[in-house]
Amino acid sequence: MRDQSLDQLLDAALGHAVADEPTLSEVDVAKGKLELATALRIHRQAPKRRTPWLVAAAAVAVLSAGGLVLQTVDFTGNGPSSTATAAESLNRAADLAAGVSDQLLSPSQYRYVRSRYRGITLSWGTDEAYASGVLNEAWIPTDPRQEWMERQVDDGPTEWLPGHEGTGTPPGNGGRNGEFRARCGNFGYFSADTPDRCTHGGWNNPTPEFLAALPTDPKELYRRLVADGRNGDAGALTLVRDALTSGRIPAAQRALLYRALANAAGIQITDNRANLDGAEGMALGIRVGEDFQEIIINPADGAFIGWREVVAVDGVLSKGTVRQSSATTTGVADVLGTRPN
Amino acid sequence: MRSDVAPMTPIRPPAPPVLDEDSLLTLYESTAARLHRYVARRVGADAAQDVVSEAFLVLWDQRAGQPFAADAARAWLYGVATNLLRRHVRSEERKLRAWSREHTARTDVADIGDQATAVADAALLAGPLTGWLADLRIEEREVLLLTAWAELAPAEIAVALDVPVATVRTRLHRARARLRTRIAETDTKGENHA
Repeated sequence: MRDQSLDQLLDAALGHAVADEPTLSEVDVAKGKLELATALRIHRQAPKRRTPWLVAAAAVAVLSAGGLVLQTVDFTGNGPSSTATAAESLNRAADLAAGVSDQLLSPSQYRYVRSRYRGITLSWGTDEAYASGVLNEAWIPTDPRQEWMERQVDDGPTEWLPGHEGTGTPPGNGGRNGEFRARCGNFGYFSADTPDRCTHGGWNNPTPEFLAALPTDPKELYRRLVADGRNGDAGALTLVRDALTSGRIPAAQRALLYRALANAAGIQITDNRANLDGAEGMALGIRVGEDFQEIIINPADGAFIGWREVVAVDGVLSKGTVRQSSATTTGVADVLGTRPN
Repeated sequence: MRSDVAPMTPIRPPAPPVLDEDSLLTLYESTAARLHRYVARRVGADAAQDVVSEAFLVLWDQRAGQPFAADAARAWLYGVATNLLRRHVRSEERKLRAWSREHTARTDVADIGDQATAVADAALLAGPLTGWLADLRIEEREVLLLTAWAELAPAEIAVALDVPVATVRTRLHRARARLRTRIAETDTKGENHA
């Protein structure tokens, strides 16, 4: 069936799904309004000072980004690296990562994470597409309960893709650029009711406690990744990507994640894959939906240096187009907001 | 010298509206039913009542006395509700799967593809589709359902979830692609999801 028909069917079916829940009547709304008015009288208080409403891009580093570049990649996940070879490469990378000593931070220092993202944003339901990028820098204190800082700016031009032009200027990345500070990295506007990032770890927010609670056996860790990722080996690789992008995974845990991924059957290894900064590394790739997703690691020390997503199925974007790519470097900063020397 | 012309009163631009009790209650009147419907589809009517009430109180806590625009406030409300719904992830997935089991017809859906837009087929597909929603990652499900059930535009969802609009589109693209694949597999296999 054509994608268009599938889309129509999907939309129609979504319209029917769980549509039988009772709705509020006018009486219910009037009653609710009265209850709200009562609650406000009890609840009344002076307006609070708000934290900036932009959230850390590092925590949601899935910005659609990338240049229009054609690649020669086997998108099937059955490329030149056999499963055995991929596992060997991953275990070798793990050995390298395990041999690395993390830079120790003093209590007054900050982990500095610099990430560039570039990629393509599609306008849903049209052929319009544009490329844009951001540079995100984060300063993470040694004690995560202290104040974090994040700075985000546009990076590179925002431009229509040839053949996919819309009218006027492309919309760009939205209004999330700026400089933000918050304890625990709780930059979000809704921080009062989003889980506290100090106490609610996850793959996007790998707190020391979250990492410490992960299985230490690679096979068990792999099973955990598959369970949490909900998309087989592709989901597992996506979660590892999320965690590595945070810049907060110690070398020993990176090694463990690579050993866990060695249990995944469909991972394809490609050498000399360039990240957005042009630095080359070993790519661990797998098909994720209509894209081929790769994590790029430094073959010398197993450090994560970026990721890419390449279109694997012809659609609005041609197969081989880099949908998104990134480059990540880390360092140690002495002062909040100041880059490492 | 006397002038017959009355002195002109300087015209000041009207002060921007701020969120006060009246505007919050008016917003409740215009938005609560729609927000409740969205939340109820995700976690059921009982939990929806609490989530909707709490969302308005959170909005009040955070925005009382601040400049207020109804459209932006509505997006914020969906954002607050979405964050509150994350406390109910497991019960949401149980609900979706239960609804799926209950509404998956015991008929062969192999011919869905031949009548792609037929309402009957869409209704038929809604059963298994609801179960597949439970399999999506929460971030993808949120964006998909804010689009499909809350009828928010990507830019509104970006405000609601406090993420770049590009992220919204990426998540939406992935969620739809995964569901299209499941539909296509159903079509190919003639699978009965009962």
